[in-house]
Parts: sequence; C-alpha cells; structure tokens
Amino acid sequence: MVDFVHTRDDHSAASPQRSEAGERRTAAERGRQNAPPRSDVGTIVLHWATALALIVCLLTGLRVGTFGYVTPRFDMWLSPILPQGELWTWHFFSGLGLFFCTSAYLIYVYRGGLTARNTFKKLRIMLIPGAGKMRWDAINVGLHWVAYVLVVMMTTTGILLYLGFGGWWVWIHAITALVAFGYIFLHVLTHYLYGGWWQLFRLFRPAKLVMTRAARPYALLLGTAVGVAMVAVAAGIDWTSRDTLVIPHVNGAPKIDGVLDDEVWTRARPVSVRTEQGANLGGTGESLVEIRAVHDGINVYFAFRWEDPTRSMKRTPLIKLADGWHMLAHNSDIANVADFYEDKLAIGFSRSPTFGSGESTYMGTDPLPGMPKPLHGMGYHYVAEGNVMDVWQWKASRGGHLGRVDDQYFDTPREPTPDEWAGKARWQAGYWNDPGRAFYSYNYKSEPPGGYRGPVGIYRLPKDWKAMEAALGSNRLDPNKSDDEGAHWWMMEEETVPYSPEADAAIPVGTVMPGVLISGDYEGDRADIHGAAKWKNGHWHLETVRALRTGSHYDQDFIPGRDLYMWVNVFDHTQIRHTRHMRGVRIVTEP
Amino acid sequence: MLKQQSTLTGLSATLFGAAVLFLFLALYHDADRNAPLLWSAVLLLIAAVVSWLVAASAGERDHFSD
Repeated sequence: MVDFVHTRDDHSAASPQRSEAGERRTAAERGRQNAPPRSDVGTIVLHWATALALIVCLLTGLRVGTFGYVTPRFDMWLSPILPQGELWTWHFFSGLGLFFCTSAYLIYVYRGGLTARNTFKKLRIMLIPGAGKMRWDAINVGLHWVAYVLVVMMTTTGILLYLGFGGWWVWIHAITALVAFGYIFLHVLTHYLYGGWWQLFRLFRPAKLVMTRAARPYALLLGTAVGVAMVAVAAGIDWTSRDTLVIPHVNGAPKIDGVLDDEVWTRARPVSVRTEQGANLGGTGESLVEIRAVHDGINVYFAFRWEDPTRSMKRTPLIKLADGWHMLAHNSDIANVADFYEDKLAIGFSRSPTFGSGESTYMGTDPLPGMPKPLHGMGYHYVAEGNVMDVWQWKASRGGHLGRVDDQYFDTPREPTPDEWAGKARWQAGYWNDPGRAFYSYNYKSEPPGGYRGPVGIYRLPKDWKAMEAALGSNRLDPNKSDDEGAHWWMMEEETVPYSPEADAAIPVGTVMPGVLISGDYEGDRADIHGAAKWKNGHWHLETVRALRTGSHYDQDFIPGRDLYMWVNVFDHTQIRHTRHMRGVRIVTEP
Repeated sequence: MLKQQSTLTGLSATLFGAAVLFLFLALYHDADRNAPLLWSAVLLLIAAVVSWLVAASAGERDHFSD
C-alpha cells in the first residue's frame, strides 16, 4: 500500500542541501550515493504496519468468506492456509489497524513533503517509448493509487457490513478483498522489476526523512498521533452509538399470541437491528429485526418482528418413492440444509459485549484440533470458561407454533460421545440444549456424512395419511414458496403408528410426510421459555415470556444494574446459515 | 557510525521478522491461548520500530561526522 519509491532518500546526495554543498562532497558521501537505496523511516514503519494489517484482514476475511456467498469455493480452496478460530476480533482490529495506517500515512505524506512521490504526472512516463526503468516507476505509482482505492473501498464497505447492510455491499467488499490479495503479489513483482532485490530490501534499511522546503518536522509523530486519534474516534463512535434496549417495568403482561397489538408494547421503545448475509431471504440475505421488551417484576416479555419473505414450515420432510422414504432436503447429512427447512430466530444473551457475538464464533474446518471436526466445515459455537451465552431459539415447526421456544446455550466445548468421536453423530462443541427435554424428535434414522442419498429408515407413519397430507397445506414441494397459514409440518405422536411394512404399503408413492414428531412436553431448564408466532405480510411476529431470573447456569438473568448484550440471527428456511449481527445490543433492565 | 547503523538495521530486521513470526503464530494458534504470543508480537514490533528510528538517526549522525 505505502509507496516506498522515494528518490530523495534513494539518492540522498541529490537533495537541495547537498547540491549546494556539492563541492564539499566527500568520497564517503559519493560512496553512499552508490550504495543500495534506503527508505525514510516513516515510510518503512507505515508500510509494514499497513502490510501486516492488510494481510491479517485478508486472511481472516477469506475465512469468513468460506461460509459466505460470493466466492465460497475459492475461499474453501484456500482453507488449508487460512487461520481458524475466533477471527472476528482479529478481522475488526486489523481493519482498525488499516484505518490507522491510512490516516497516519496521509498526514505523514503531506507533513513530510512527500506528495510528489505519487504524483499522477509520473503516469505519463508509461506512454513514453523506451522509458526503461522509469516506466516501472510509473507503473508502481499507478498501482499505489489502485491500492489506495482498494483500501478506501474495503474500509467503506466493511463499515457498511459491520452496520448490518448486505446485498451488493457484500459482493463489493469480497471482490475488492480478492483483488487486494492479488495486488500484494503484483506490488512486490513490479517493485522488483523496477529496482531488483535492493528495491525490496530498502524497506528494511531506514534513513532519516530528508527535510526539504516542503517538509515539516515531526511528520511521523504527528501522523501516528492523528492515526491513533482517528481510531479512537471511530471506536468511540461505534461504542457510544450502539443500540440500547431498555426493559421497562410495566403493570400487566402482553397476551402471548404472536400479535403485537398489546397496549403494553407501546410503552417499550423498539430497537431495530440490521442483519445480513443469511441464506435465502429473497436473495438479499438481509433481514431487519425490530425488538421490544418489558417486564412485570416476575417475567420478561420480548416482542420480535423480522423480515422474511416466506412462511417456511418444512423441516426436513420425507417423500415416498417406489423404493421407500427419501429425504427431500439436501445437505442434511452435514447439517447444512438451506432448502426444505423451517424458519427460525436465534437470540443470544451474554454478559460480554465483545466481537464475534461475545466471542462465541469459532470458524474453520477444524477450529478445535484434536476434537471432532464440524460436519459442515464452517466452525463451532463455544465460549471461554465463565462466558456462557444463553441462546433462545424459536423454531417454526419444532414447537414454534405450539407455544415453545427452545432454551439452549453456548458454553465451553463438551466431551464428545463415542458416536460423535466416530463421526456418526454431530458434535456441536459448546452449543447444546439446556438440561431437560424437548417434545420434538425426528421421524427418520440419523445418517452420517454421505448419508440420506437413498431410502431412509422411518420410525412412525401417520394413522391417516390423507388427513396428514391435508394438514400440510397446498405447498408441499417448493421450499422457496410460502407455506399456508395453519399448515402443520409436524405430526403428533397420537396421530401416528410405529413403522411397519404393512402400514407403509397403505400409503401411496408420492406422499409427503413431516420429518418432525411431537410427543410429551418440554421439561426442566429447557422448558423455561414460552412463545407464540405469526407470519404476516413478509414478517414474522414473535412474542416470548421467561422468568426474569431462572438461576440456571445455562441462562442469563435479567437483573437491574447488570447489563446484558443481545445478538439476533434470522434463519430463512435454513439450518445453520443465519444472518449476521455484528454489534450486540445492550440490554438495560429497569428496576 | 556506518557500522552502528548497519548493526541496528540488522537488529531491527531481526526484531521485525520475529514479531511477524509471533503474530502469525498467534493468528494460527488456538484462539483461547494466543494472548502471550500476541503480546510478544506487539512488544517485538515496538522494539523493531524503535530500532528503525535509532538506525535512521545513526545514519544522520554519520553524515555530519564526515
């Protein structure tokens, strides 16, 4: 990024002061003039600071891109050389580092009287035949300007992504980053062609900045000070402008029915959160989430309203073919379904406001060496000791329309079971369900990666397949089309019989059957949250209720004076590819 | 003085190289246990910058001593 072609320090004896004193030039000075070039120390420091920040930014960004939508295959191809783990913090801090370097370099160049080094006039040399070495100088200047544009574009689009804007901004950010990745190699090559190895080595050979009439003292010091100040201002603006959701104490509770018309909600100031880069969502990947909350001294009530163009209820349904029952969804074996899947909303609560959703997101194909690898190759959720994240997950067909919200958590990674060690079952590191039980299960036998390509084993069949199919509504086979209101993409246990070839023979080929079974009820810690949801006009509306304090190790209590931070992620008929929410919402519970 | 500048240049390049090594070890190391590596990288980078500044000054003094 930083230009290190600086003729004044390259041939220091050619400076004005030295020209005036030319007659006094000593043999030693002439020797130095012919010596390999040096660069002024400010350029060296800022160049390497920029290079390190850019490389860390690119490496971590490419890892993030492995579960993005722009060039995921290319990013995954680079996966073996990409870092793994909690990389959001690295990415944002290196981005801030790049912002520091840009600010500092601008000041340094102007203060140091170095603007001529990158003047556009040099580009004309490229048109002169036989310009030789000077042509490479011009090419380098041109490339430096390309780098400046790339950095400005990456910084601008990165800020937009951080604020929750998706769509084309994601594409521009990702493509610009890939161009910057290629630029690094081109930059080194063209400087080598300009001046050989010494042109590259000069970045390790410091000289003092030559003071010309255009230069002012303390260029590097002031540049650094301005850079630090700019970063401090940016971080300060980010921190002070983060959303705060105040939970007021109210008399009276809302009716938990998924209709946000209760008078009590008018007393709650809503917070709107932009989320982006989720699967589906009409192709934009974006969803705006509006959040309200109140408490009555005993319970805390939340109201969520989020954008989702379709009501999706199908969670890994099955279809009967001539040779048996088949899974309609793709990638179910690697827990990465993004077609025949239900809508979901995940809400995380943590005491930590840090990046990566409270440092709970660890990316990579093997982010925990020595432990089972993630089936989908994207990473794990877990946290460090003492940083438990309480996770509420509303699941449209797994109790989401039966009054339940799943109570889960992120904690330190759990010891895998033998099946998980063997890769036969999905190990989820630190992401698990609260103790107790849920009332849903799956109506097919689990298969390891590579499975679900043929007929699958079935546990139960409907007593009345016609009634079951009627309950599914009119849309049975299109995952991108909205399901009917009131469609049931689950079966109650009492509506089913255990699988038998005789019962199966009575069901015709082409029948579609839900993949979810409901039996019994929620129990234990896992039963802490109730809710109700309705989809209307391209939005889901969800109301939830939970006790302010549960006392569970796996929950976060809502306590006046003890702030919490919240992240929300929208799943539009996808298993894991939820939208991203970068800036946690501060939660203040009023007494 | 030229010898001193040369020594400092070599020292700063070594410090910088070590800092880069520690930085990437921290980046590629288990994220839960990378703080010591990261702090080592930061300290080495600061040392490299100081060394570069001193090396540049040594070169300047050499100029006036001719």
